[in-house]
Amino acid sequence: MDKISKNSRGSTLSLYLVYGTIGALAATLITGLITGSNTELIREFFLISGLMLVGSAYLSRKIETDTTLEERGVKSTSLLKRFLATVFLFNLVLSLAWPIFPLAQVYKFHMNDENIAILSVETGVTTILFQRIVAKLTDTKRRLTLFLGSALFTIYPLSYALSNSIYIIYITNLASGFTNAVGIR
Amino acid sequence: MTYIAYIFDNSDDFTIRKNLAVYNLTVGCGVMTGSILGGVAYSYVSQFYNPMYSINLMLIISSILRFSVSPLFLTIKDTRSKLK
Repeated sequence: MDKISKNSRGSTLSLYLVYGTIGALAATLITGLITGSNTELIREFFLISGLMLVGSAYLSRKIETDTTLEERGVKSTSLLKRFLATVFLFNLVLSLAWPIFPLAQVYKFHMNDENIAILSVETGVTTILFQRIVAKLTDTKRRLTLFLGSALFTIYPLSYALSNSIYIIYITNLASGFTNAVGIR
Repeated sequence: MTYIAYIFDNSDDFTIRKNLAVYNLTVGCGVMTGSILGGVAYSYVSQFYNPMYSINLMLIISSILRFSVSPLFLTIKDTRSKLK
């Protein structure tokens, strides 16, 4: 991926993101349509999902790679150390709210499976829609993209805290396309 | 994709795999630590306030922290920017 995306990181990497998101979206819709509210069927889908993961792990062994053998004891540059320190700190504060979101969804907004499904599909669709913008920004204004991609994460806990309407959550969740496109590997 | 693009552009053929692995490890460590701290903090806060107030308080604190850390991304150096 490094070599084939050398001249246009954003647009090449975003292609992988789009195909991955389309696959995830299709799988989410199929699972949602078949299971509906029948929680009995969830077990089968977890099983199928696990088997498919094992299958894809096996397939990844077949991918041809063109790599240079790494020397032992190679150290990361100080440039990257600063980046990694920022990534660590950001992921730490990002995930502080993760245990709280499900609590807010259940106890504050009284969300049902349909509401969660709408949020999930909305995230998938907006990720595909935003990928061209993020790809262009990644190639031209990378630091600004990293900043915007992380700063926008502020609006999710804020909207959950200040709003009492699920429709506000739907509206703020539109930004998840941008933040996902920046962050998803 | 932007994070991976940054690592690609700031690594060479010898360091790229190690850098990607360390990046994933860093994300994992950050997420694990943050989630545990968030859960513990909520349990502590909910001892003093009602659950709804505790949820809102934790979410607002999280928003402030998220916004405080994000400008750090503007301070990192990018090799690609130098080339342009």
